[in-house]
Amino acid sequence: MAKILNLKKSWGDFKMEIPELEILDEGLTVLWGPSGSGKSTFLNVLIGLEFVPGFQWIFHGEDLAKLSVQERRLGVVFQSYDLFPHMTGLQNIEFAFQARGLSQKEVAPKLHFFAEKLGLEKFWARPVSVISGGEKQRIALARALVGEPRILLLDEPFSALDTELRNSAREVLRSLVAELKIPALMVSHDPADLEIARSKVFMEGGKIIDR
Amino acid sequence: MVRSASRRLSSFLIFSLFVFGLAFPYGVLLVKIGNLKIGNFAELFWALKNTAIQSVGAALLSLMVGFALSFGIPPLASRWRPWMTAGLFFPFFVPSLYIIALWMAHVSWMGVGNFIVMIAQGLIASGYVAVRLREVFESKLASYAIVAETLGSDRKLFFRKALGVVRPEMISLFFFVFVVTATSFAVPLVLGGSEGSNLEILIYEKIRISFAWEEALSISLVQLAVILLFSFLQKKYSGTPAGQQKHHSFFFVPWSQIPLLAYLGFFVAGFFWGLPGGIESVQRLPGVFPLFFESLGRSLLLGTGFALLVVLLLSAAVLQLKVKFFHQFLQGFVAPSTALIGFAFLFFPTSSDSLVFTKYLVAFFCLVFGSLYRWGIQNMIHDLNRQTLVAETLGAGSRTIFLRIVFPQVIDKIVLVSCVGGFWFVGDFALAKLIVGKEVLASLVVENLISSYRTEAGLILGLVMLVMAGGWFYLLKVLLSLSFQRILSRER
Repeated sequence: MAKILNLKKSWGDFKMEIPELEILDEGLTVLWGPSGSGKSTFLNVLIGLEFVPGFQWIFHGEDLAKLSVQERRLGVVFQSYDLFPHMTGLQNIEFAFQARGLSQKEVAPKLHFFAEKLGLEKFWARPVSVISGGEKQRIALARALVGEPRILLLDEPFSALDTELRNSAREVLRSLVAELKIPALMVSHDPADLEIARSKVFMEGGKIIDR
Repeated sequence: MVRSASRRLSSFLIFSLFVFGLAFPYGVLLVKIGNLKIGNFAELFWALKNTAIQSVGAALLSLMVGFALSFGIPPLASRWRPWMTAGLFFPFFVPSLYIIALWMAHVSWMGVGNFIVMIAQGLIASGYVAVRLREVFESKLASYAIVAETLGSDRKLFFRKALGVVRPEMISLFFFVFVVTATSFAVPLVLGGSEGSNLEILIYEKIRISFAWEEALSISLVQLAVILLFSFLQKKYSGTPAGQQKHHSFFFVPWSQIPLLAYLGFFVAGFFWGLPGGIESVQRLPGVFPLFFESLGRSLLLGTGFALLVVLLLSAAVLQLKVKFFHQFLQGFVAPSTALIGFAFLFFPTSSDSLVFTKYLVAFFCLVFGSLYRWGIQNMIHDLNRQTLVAETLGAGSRTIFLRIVFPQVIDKIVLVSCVGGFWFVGDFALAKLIVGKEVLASLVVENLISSYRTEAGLILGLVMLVMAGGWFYLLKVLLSLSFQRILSRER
């Protein structure tokens, strides 16, 4: 179990107070709640974009809160995917494993796995500016996972997709997380995303209300 | 730990280099002149009032005319687009002296006060504003335009409702023209007459007529304070991140090319108007040709050095992407007046020509770097910061992020801005006259002809100089872009 401890901070009027929260070692934990409940801020703290004094994130005996953004080794899928606009889909994925110091040879089986599982080969040679929203989402997912992250974090990853695509994307995510046996934390305001959750956490007003 | 300490140290060193380099003229003037003094407050307020009227008026006019002209710019895919863009930039980046000399050759309208200064400055900046506005429309309004069109909106209604989205960019452009007008010298001097003296002219008069250095420096500091205050008032540039530029039929009105061509004709074709007379008058001055071409070679060489210096320093500025206050400093920095920068560097006597040219390069850098930064880099900072953050979450180190994410996206713009800077350098005569003095640069040969009433000859040689500089810096831009792309492709 990954343990989040002592996450207490105020941002103007908004106050976040999470004394303790556990994230599963395997499978998807969904943190859901209405807009403005502090989900994205919570994710920013985990990524290391917000500094919270006293905050601890114990993962297999190591406190990730003490590490820099790079050293935390997280896989993040942002809400708007944030693919690098001057690269193709494949170059985005290559950048991710090269950034972690992995060679093409080392990741070849994994790359093949993602290409097949996510159907990337049809569009990954194209510049990201011309691919569709659903294709962008799959590239972003492969990019986040190819660098062998400790944990996968997803910020409303389906919000830009239409209903039909959302359902298939949910299924793809669920099976990927199950096959790779990694922990994943997804932030969402959509109750439909709870269908694929192994663990559910409800957040409101900066506090965990229900687990 | 060691790496982050060395990174902090290198950040500090780069920041110090910029602060020291850009604030250097102020430092020299403060040390050499000693005290500050304002002798005549009424005179100061009068010049301040003129500066405000001219700057606000010119900025508003350039926004209005620029908005109208922007609809005549051909779509992105058109092969005429780069030529039109270059033509619209022309009046803004060509020294005002040539524009004024061109107008004066045909119309007599000197000494008409604030109004004519406002009109002249506003028109000179309108082409630049038109190009920038069109880029903003294409990057920020294209997707809204599609939605509006499907909802049945026409162009007029769309722009009435959607202009709010680009308000931060419009305020930024207003500020840009405001600063350029508030620190301009040639236009208010020649066209404004005694009724249109601004702070810049007051500074010049204090130095040249009254030798009142303390007063000149004090007025310059007032000018800086006004501009800095204004820069704090402006909204942050990037309200929302810009997307990729896309064309939409709302942004192009074919008949709007008529005013656009009239504008280009007014500024560009005017140079060709006096061509026959100019050639004849140059032929009557046989000694001018060898002197001019020798000086032109030197100007182009120095201009190339200047362009390379700007490439280097803009890249260094981008390297400090995450240091927020560093970019706030560059965004708000305004150089002292041309006269004061020139005089600050004259405090360092130099014997050899190469030292004089080095001094001139550094002084020109201090004068224009703020403008080049604001044009080239400022609006990219928001997007690049976001991408840097994403790359960090993927585990990339600062070297990888710089070479693979940031640099490939900014280098073309940096090279373009630097080459425009080089072109600007070749055309400069005001600072060159103060620091270099002799007719060893092409702009000084041209300026000497114009100021000795051989205007037609001066204009024709000025045209040759600008055409050759334009061609050379275009070639340099292509060469530098290709070289950087080759270097970066090895990094992948």
